[in-house]
Amino acid sequence: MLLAAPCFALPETVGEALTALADRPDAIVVAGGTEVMPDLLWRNRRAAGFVSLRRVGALRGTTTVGGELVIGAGTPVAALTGAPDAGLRAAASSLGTPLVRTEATIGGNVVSALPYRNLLPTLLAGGATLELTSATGTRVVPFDGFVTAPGRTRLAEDELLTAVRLPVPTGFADYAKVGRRNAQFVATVSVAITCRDGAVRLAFGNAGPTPLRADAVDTAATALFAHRATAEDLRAAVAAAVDPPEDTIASAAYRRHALGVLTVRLVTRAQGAAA
Amino acid sequence: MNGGGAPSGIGGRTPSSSPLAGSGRASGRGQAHSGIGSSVRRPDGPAKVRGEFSYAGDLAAEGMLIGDTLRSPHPHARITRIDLTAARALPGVHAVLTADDVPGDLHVGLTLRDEPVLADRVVRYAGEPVAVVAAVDAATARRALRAIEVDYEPLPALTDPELARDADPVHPDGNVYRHVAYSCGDPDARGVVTVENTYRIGMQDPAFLAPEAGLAWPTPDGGVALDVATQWLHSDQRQIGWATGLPPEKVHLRLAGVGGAFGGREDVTLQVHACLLALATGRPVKVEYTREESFLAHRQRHPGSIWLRHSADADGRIVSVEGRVLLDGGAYASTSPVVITNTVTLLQGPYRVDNGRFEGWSVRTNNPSCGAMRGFGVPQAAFAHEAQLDALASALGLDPVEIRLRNALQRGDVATFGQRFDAPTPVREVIEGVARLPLPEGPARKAPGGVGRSAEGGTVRRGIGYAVSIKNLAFSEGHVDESTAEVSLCDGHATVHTACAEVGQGFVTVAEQVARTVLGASTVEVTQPDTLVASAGSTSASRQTMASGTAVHRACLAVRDRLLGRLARAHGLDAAELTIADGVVCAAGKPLTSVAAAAPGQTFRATEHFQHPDTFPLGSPEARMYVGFGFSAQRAVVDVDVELGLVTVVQIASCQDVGTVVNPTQLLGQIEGGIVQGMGLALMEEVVVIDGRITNPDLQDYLIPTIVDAPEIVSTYVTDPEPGMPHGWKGVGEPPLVTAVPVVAAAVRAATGLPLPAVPIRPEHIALGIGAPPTVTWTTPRPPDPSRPPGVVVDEEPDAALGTMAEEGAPPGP
Amino acid sequence: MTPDEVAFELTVDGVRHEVTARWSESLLTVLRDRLGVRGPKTGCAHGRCGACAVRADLGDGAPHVLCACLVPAATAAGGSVATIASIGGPDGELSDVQEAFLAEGAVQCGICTAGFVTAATELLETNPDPTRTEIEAALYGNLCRCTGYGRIVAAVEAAARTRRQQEAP
Ligand SMILES: Cc1cc2nc3c(=O)[nH]c(=O)nc-3n(C[C@H](O)[C@H](O)[C@H](O)COP(=O)(O)OP(=O)(O)OC[C@H]3O[C@@H](n4cnc5c(N)ncnc54)[C@H](O)[C@@H]3O)c2cc1C
Ligand code: FES
Ligand code: FES
Repeated sequence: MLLAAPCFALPETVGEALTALADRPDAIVVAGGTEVMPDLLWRNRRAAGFVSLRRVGALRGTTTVGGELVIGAGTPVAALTGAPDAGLRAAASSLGTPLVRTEATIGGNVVSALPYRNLLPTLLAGGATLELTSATGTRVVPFDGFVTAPGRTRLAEDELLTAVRLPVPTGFADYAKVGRRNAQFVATVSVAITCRDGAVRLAFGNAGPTPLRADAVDTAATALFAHRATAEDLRAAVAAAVDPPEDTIASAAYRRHALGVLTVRLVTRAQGAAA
Repeated sequence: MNGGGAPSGIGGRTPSSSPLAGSGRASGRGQAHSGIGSSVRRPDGPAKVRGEFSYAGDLAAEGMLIGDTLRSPHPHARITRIDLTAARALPGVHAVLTADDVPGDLHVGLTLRDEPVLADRVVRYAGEPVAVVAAVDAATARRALRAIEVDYEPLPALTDPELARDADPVHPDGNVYRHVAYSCGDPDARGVVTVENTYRIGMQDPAFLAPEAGLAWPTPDGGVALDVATQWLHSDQRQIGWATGLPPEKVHLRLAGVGGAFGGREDVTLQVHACLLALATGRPVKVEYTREESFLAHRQRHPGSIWLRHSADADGRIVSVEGRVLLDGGAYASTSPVVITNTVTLLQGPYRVDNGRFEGWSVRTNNPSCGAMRGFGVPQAAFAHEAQLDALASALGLDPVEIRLRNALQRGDVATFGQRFDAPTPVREVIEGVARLPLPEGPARKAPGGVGRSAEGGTVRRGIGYAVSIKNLAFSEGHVDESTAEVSLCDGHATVHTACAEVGQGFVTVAEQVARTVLGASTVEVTQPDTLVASAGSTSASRQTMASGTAVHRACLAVRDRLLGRLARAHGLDAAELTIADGVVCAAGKPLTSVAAAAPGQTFRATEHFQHPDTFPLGSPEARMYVGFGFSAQRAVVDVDVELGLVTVVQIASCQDVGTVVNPTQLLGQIEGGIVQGMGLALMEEVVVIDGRITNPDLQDYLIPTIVDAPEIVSTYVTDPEPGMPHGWKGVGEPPLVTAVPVVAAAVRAATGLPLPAVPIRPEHIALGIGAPPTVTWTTPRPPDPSRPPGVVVDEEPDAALGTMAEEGAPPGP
Repeated sequence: MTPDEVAFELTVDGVRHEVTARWSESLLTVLRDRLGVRGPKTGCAHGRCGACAVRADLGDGAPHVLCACLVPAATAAGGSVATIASIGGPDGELSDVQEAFLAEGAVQCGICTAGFVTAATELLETNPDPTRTEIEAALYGNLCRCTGYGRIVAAVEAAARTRRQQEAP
């Protein structure tokens, strides 16, 4: 059933969604709503209507196209807990709660653009690209650089995120996050890793205003992986690369320390997997 | 498995009612399956599992308006102007009220009447109610709030409790709620070693899962009625009476379904507002808080700092204890004057202390108001004294269990505050009981960090800690602790009526068990609590089984005597020969008739009152501050990821002094629930207040333990009956929480070797080693000066304001 | 209907309703305040406590259990919702999970119970013999402040046991 009201649209195709959005300039896109609904409750955000992507079937599901996983932006996080990419799987499995994961989408996570969101470091480490679609067509941009500030992205007003693409996993990938309780927590910090043919790539969550990675870190990590450097070296490289926030949840000093610890552990895991 | 399920039917973590203490007696002997001692199911359970039980948030009435509250954004400010014109002019808005519209006395409060119902020209905390509105729906009510114009002139906010005593008063009543100071024996006596440190406890929120709600409506008698989720109907009634100017008989309260309380519903929040709005509009008005408002409106547990110095001899026997406490009471008194004495007097812990000097203040600041929360000042004390015992043990090279056994209080000992422990005092028994319980076997099921999977690739260290606590039970220091029950019986159907608030703890089950056991009733109805019956006091201080349970017991006995008297006359028998067991009346042991058929159509009624023996303020010659005490020992096993500072609690073993096991399943529920709340305070729960504002008024950043965080809990009991109580029962609700705070901290210290003098323990305290260790000083022994007067010396008169409630004949704080 | 409202059809526990609500209202608000369906509870309204859990078919795949407070109500247009009232038989007959919650003492204040029963029922549908770890993994979206969870785990284990015994030949 297609429902339309001045402040609410429930389109069934991407085209309809774009039209609905164009017709309602003050409306916001809602996918799972797990980000938007609390934001409205807490008055973090104002809006004058919803364009819901819930019924846009084409946005759901994962396919493999030319060596890439193409994950529809409306794919629920619950579906990613079985993803072929181990990093994505780990990040999805620790996102929110079982009751949230069925609603939360990968697209909402990416567009939320908050540095502590689970999937972002995984996408950064994995070298993801994003499909952005507007009435005039689709462009593909790297995820690296897409988030410009907390909550801000390069998505244009008239665009939708339609898919997230990741290289089909070959090597090792993983993700870990730290928080103050043992389930259902926002990441104090998080780290994602991929390791392909001995090359380690790392990305950090809540280590700065946007998801963050650094060549110097990857170099040190690759060296540690090959036993050519020490854990100390890697920790120092991480400490130099990150600029974590100081807030009531944790000090910047703790975050910097924990990022180093987690990073070394993930490289250790990669070594274990390679052995 | 039905209500009669024997304890062994409850999985592996079964309460054993085996009397570990010598004088313990088997509970439930010869009782009907549905009686005292068996795991009777909750009578409200079927409705709850079906989702049909009606909670305060579910209330609705024909033509009802929605009430909402405008709260101060400032922790301290003068209100220079309020303009209600626009708000009142909005269509759909039926009332907009400020302090000027309060017909009665503006001020309410549980102990001191220092809190305006609506801000009186000055706001003293961020979140203080300034105006209330009633409108046709929630959206209109919110619009009305936005339309209220308020100009504030911000004042300097007093947010550091350390500065409160010397700062300019932020309230006409001054900045000290109560100062307590006393000593006993010779506080300067010394053994071979002293250890001292300062301990800090963060602000915990009760975080009951159903936010505050109530529905008020005007009544034909010119009064007002309120259905509300509360812990204490009569206290609400009195305060509503003050503010509305109505006499108590025109303020009609009934208990609506309560979704948890834990102390947080002892003060009024929306009660008075809803009634004022109903009276002003002539319509039913419902008020329901959001989670955020709930954090702002209700009372939290007092944060505080405690300095303690213990001196001990070479055997680890405590020679003297000195302690100083500062609790931040926030903007209004609530129960701050009472909480502070609990903390100060119980700094000795469950240990014999002959020489000591203790002092404490609860002070006013512009932080959120603090008041009752499960444990009522004692978790703070327990966290500090147990850390001290471990520090002493470590200085002397003693085992933590051994040092506790050597100092364990015994029956007959005298407390630092002068009271003799004249009831069972099974401290040794609970310690031995917990030490006997098996340690967890096999590899740990969960790693620290949980679903974040941060521990893989790192090292995890295990730690084991012990803690023991003493908790006073029931109201204290002259605050009358009483309850009243009306019971009737007709054709085997019993009705029990009290004003005791069922908040989840299971009083309704206990009341039913008593009626079945004493009366042999085949069905029991526990009716909705209301103010038509006399006060039951608060559902707090672990007191309702003791107070209302005993009132119900007495009323049941009176009804039974009436029934048996009548039967005796009818059959020409001696009433003394008649007994009731399993629903059958027996004459000299032979069945005579069933209770149900004993007197067809006849109703037998009785109303009975119960009151604990009097208690007296600290320093009184009667030397009886408290009604009674409960003791609990726990052992925690934790796994710690030291590098990241993350903890998983693997197991908590508990042995508690419970008097008697009234209902094994409900008892276990109290133990497990209390332990997990205490563990929450130890590891994660903290209301963060920055510049007087709560930064985490939600369940995203205020963390309560999830099912993944909950440890395996092994629970046993010492059943040494409490004198003067039916079946020897006693309060059980608070001790598990009190002990869990220090025990988790002790285990984390054992795993990490860190001092960890503050709770909640933050990951960075562990990972970065934050927190000062105790100072250990080796001393030349100095025996107590024999010329010191024996007994308690109160160094300074307690604040005169303390007694006001009791003197006015008003019901006391807990 | 005002411009900021939206009208839609919604089936709740087998009953069809015509709903008119503000565009931003949550499914929970519509259920509780507009339709008077009070089984799902409001513990936080921001997805943390699970007291509002319902099983819903939102026309976006298989029906599943979710937090009603997180779903914009109109996304359920034409869909259906099964609340706690749909668990258990007619005439108040209890399901095995409800029965176990009662028997094991998993209910104290009970405000979390409808959510837990809903989530636990879903778990046993997909995994009739869950380990303790699996029970925890399935239920950490539900908070309980009273019980400390021990009796809740015991109840789910008991319900699974009963179900297996009944299904055994
Ligand atoms: C209880 C709870 C726990 C949570 N825990 C975590 C956690 O542990 N880790 C974590 O990372 N997150 C967590 N979240 C946040 C949230 O669930 C995730 O970020 C989720 O992935 C958001 O997806 P959504 O579809 O619900 O987003 P929505 O709320 O629907 O949308 C989020 C934002 O993205 C925009 N948007 C969504 N889809 C598109 C699209 N296709 N094109 C353009 N814009 C779009 C929306 O306009 C909005 O600005 C939690 C949320 C809750 C309520
Ligand atoms: S009310 Fe929906 S999760 Fe708390
Ligand atoms: S029983 Fe009260 S919150 Fe679970």
